[in-house]
Amino acid sequence: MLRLIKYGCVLAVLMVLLGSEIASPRAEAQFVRPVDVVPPDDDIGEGYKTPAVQRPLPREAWWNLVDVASLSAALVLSTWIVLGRRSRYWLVALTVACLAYFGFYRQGCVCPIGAIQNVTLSLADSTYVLPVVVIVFFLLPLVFALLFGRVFCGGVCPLGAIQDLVVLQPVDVPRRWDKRLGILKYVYLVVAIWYAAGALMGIEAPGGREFIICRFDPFVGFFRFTGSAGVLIFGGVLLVLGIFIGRPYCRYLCPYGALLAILSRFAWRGVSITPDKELDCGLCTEACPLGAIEKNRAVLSSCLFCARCFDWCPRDKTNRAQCQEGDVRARAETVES
Amino acid sequence: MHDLRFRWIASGAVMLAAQVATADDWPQFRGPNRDAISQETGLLRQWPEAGPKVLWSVEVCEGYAAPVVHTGRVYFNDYDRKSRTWFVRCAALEDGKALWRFSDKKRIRANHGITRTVPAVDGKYVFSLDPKCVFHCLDAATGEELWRKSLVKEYGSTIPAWYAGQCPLVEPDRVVIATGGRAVLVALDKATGSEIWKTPNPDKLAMSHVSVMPAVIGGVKQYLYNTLKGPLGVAADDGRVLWHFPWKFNVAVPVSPVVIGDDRVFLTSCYEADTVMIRVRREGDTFSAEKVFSLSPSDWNSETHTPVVYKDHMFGVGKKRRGLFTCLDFDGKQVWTSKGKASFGLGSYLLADGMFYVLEGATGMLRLLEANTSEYKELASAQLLDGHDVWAPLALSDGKLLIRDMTKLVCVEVGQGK
Amino acid sequence: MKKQPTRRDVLGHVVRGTGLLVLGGAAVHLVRRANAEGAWWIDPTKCVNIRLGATGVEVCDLCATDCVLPLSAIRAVNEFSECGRCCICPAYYDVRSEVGPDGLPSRKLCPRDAITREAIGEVDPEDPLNNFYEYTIDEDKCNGCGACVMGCKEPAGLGSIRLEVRYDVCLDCNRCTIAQVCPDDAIVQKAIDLPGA
Repeated sequence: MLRLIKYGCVLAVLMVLLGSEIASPRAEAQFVRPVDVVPPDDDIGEGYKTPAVQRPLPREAWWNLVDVASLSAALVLSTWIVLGRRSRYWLVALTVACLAYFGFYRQGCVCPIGAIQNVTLSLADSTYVLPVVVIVFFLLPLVFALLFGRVFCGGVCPLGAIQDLVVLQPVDVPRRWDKRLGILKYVYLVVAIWYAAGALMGIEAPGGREFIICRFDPFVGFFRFTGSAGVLIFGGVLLVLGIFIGRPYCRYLCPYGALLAILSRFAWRGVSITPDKELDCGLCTEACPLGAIEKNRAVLSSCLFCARCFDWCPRDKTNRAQCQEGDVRARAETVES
Repeated sequence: MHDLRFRWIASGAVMLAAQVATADDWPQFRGPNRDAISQETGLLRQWPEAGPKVLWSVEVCEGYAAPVVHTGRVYFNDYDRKSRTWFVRCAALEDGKALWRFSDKKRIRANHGITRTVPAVDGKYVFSLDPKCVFHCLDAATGEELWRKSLVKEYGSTIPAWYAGQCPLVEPDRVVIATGGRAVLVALDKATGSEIWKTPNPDKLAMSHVSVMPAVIGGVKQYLYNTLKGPLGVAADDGRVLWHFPWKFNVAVPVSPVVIGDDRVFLTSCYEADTVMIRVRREGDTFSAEKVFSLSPSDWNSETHTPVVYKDHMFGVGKKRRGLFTCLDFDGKQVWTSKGKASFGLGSYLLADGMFYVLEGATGMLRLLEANTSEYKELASAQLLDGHDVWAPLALSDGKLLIRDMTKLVCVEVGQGK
Repeated sequence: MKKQPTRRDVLGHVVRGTGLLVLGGAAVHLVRRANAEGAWWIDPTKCVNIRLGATGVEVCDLCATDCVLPLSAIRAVNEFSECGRCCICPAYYDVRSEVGPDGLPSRKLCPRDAITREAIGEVDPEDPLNNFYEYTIDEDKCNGCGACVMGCKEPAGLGSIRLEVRYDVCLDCNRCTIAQVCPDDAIVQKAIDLPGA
């Protein structure tokens, strides 16, 4: 059943992506000055030359490069830290760095979550111009998801980061509820696409085109230290809730998370908790605040690359702290009993 | 209205006194009586499809300087940017042929136009104030300069922003001009330019764009002038200040005082200043002025042109809604406007034969309106000029209407023709 | 010892391959269309402050108050080549303030004193009120409140000052907060050609 809903959503997304392109050239009224009695330069005299006006050029291109490079580097680092280094410590460092740059410095824009709407709108309305940087932000994390899983969620996404830092007293969400709530994000994805396109399959979005993901982005208000009261409260509630329920927005609401979840299902080299020898001690399941470990194995579509499991894993401790294998066994047995 | 004219004639203030003036002349700013009303009759009430016949047209420099007409001759101020020369030009009313041209080399940079003053002619002399406030007296027959006065040098005048805008007032025995600086107004001998009197200026009033208006109030002939600090009345015989009404105007005052009846004066201006109607009372030898009512700019104001008084009403282009032609009663109530019919921007207007000739400031469209106090009624319209900034006053003489835009002066037959 | 690939592995490869192809295709498709930079832009024919003909109406200062940035990304920009260089500039001076002995209004219009001016060209000492001035807007002070834009309107003003988005500051939010409140829907997404792109 859940699967059906998920794939239905994917199908809908594909239909929009490959679907109609409505070309509507927009007629622009000309700006006409009332008169032309400007004194010419030679009338002003003394060799005066009218200076050029500073034209408001878009952000310099190298800034776009910085953004793209930061994103790429963060994705690569996140992959390496989680899959190679298996280090929670370094991942937290990366998380904080990305929160600082993509969150507070870039104030939550540009972000792949919102980019869903830009991409949709660009496909629905050919007059809408989609900046290349948005395309890259939209696609790169998807490619990483297909290769490694939800790398972006782990160390890169500022929305994930702010939630990840408040996970203090995680409690288990009953699996049934976890799954049911998880469907919300697919619904949100479809609704967001519906609104961004303005109309889906001939049905107009009530209230007209709207970037609802950005409008109801719960954390961007914190990055900007301003926002509408309702959304700020929503963000605050999510953060408080996030103390007990690990990353609620990522797991249940994030529409981009929905896309990533689908793709990471087919990840080529995903997180595996014990790649060579398996203790099956279950400490990892206990460590995971996201309910992403089932039967001592990571569920790739839910795993948010937070690396907590590695931090708890006695095997990794063996490597790093040179613990005696006996101690590990003993601990494992304690847990099992 | 007619009473007023007779009173002026009786007081000897009007051009009729000049030697060769005829009823058809338009010898100064706003015509023979300085009220923008022509006495001509028999003018066309309908125009052919293509508009009234254009008799001739001459090129002029950008500006708002209107022509005057005296005994079949047209006089107007002009400038040539290439040779940097200021002109007073004289041409035949009949065919526009140039008769003479007075030139004076000077550098005047276009500042929202260059020329904006109208000469005054009495048949013998032509008086003209150039943009830099040099006052010229020319021989009307030849254009030879008889004398000149730099108001800046002689009176410490400050050249107004956008240059001089006032048009001299010719009286039978003198010419009156406002100076600001060391005097408010001065009366000069026409032949020599020597000073007959000057109005002391303790309040340091500056020259505005207002033209001095003659009036008889309380039986005393006086000259009315308006400044940024409000209007004043000056005795015609010795130039002393009879009354002053403090009122705050903003940036500039281009609209001349409008005399209503024998004791009221209507003052309106631009830049969101309040419009005011005052009553001037005479008690013995002293005059005093008091407010009758005032209008905020959201009620009504005129930005550049002086309203016309006719049939116990005032007519003029208001600022609101890009220039609604409005009929106001003497209480400031709007009787009708051209709302929904036409907008005139800062266009000018004159009254003749019961009709208003009104120019659309933005487009140059000329509209002929019936001068009534009941409704806006358009009789005819014609596109004879090109926009923009068709802000110059009009002149009418011998059935010929003179109008101009930023590039040309056009003479149009609006009478029966000959 | 090499493991035989299971059916599941093969299926995974196929799906991944297809997925990457789709993403690559989407990238090519999108990039091909993205030949310009999309950005928020103020339509001068709509904005009440800029729109000619909208005179005698209240200045709209939502650009200054509603940007997510502490100092709005919108600035007033004086197009020098269209500026009348007036001495008594109705965008520089508060034309309603009392005129001083120098013939100039006594107060300035800009609430943040962001406009400076300098006499240019020939200066006639006998005619100080008809000198030409260059009006420059201090980008660090201006917050796009639009007062000067509204001041520079017909008939006296030439409409040379307009509100423009400063892209070096603008965050290019997907959901521009000013666009949300703009009563004239004047803030729209527009393709802006990148020089040299």
